[in-house]
Amino acid sequence: MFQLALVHALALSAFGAQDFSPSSVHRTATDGDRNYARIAFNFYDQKDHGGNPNKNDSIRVWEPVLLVVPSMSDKWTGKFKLQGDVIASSTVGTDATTTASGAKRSPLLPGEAFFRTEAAAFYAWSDQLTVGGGLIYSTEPDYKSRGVYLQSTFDLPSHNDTFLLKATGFFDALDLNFFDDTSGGSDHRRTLALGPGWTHIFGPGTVGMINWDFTSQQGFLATPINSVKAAGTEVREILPDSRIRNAIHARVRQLMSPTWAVEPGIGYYHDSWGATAWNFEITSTWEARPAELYVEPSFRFHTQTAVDYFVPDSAASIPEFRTQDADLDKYMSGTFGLNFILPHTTWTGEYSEFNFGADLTWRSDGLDSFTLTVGYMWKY
Amino acid sequence: MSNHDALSSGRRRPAGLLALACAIPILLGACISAKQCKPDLSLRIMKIDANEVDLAFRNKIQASREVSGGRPGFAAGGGCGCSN
Repeated sequence: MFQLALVHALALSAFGAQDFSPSSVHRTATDGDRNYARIAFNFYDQKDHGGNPNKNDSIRVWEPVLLVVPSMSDKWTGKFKLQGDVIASSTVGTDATTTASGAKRSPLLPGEAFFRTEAAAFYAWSDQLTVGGGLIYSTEPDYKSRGVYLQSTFDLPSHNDTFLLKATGFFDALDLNFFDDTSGGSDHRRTLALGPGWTHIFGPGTVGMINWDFTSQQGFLATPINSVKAAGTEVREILPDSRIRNAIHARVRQLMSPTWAVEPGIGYYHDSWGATAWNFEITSTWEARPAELYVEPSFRFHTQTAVDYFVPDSAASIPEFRTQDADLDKYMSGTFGLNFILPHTTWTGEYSEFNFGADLTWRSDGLDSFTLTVGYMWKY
Repeated sequence: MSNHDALSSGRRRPAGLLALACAIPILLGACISAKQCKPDLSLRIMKIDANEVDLAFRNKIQASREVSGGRPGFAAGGGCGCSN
């Protein structure tokens, strides 16, 4: 039974959905099947110490999140999520939208916000099959998105293998407000994605999982506010109206001792715009105090090539498709993370959990960043 | 004492050595019976991506700052007005 629950949990976790599977909610040695809610405050800070010299990439974002996962019956589990991203600051000392005196532009302004809501339901068809789906709506200045997803997990009778399939669609509408204060009306962006996955228990202390994500995007795929500055002129960013993306990711979680587990992983990505990326990551979870304190250090290395349409400052001409977005350029990054989880402590209560952590990212192009996360979970 | 405590207490060092000894052949593809290594897959430390909120936050950062679209299982798009 433990293996069944673990396979469900791990398999659904590949889709960010492990917490609301009817058969996987809190199947740990200390957790029971209880309804729960999470609240979190996340913070992101990126410094503009490089990247595109014509664009301000400095940004600070606060992100409050509320997640509620109720068990509606033996078979049905719901999920409701509210999220906001509030731009705390996006430039220093200048009006981000002006270009006077060579000031860098920023695509976002302090006080602007992104909101996202999600509602989903999942049904345990049998002890082997779970099906479900959800609706997503998000909005930010000049951008609205409607999303829908369906997902299913299926266990083999041995319960050592779980197969997953998730289909997602996003149907987005954009207001085209360009860098030179002109407007291009509105346009759309459609994203269709298919994500199969396989989780396998190799042995009593080893679990592996592999995921493939196939994504097709159509429509306006550039960033309206972005510009390209080369050959003595400055023009809009223009990118193809279709993009095919493939990503594959594999990881293994190995129990090294009753209080220590290690999870290495590797990912590969390629798309029709010519970009290739690799990432290697390793996470270690250590139970520092039995059932009271878990410590999770992690490291992630990422390297990517530029898209075919990236235009260097020194370019002698402006091609039809062009971008100078630093995030679409070649770079490497390393992220060091440290998280602390405190479940069942005397001051958080038996049915609650407190977590906090930080990530520090170094990027070879100078766009370094860090994050802070604080969260609280209440089981009711 | 909870089940978790029962799993953890009183045998940490020998069990750790045993688990370590088990891990090496497992990694090499050997077959080991469940009786040799305790079925500790139910332990919290064996949960992958246990915090969905934290996972979604990491995905959003990677999706918006890297060319590769974010964490496995998350589709690109959906509220990011950028070309990633």
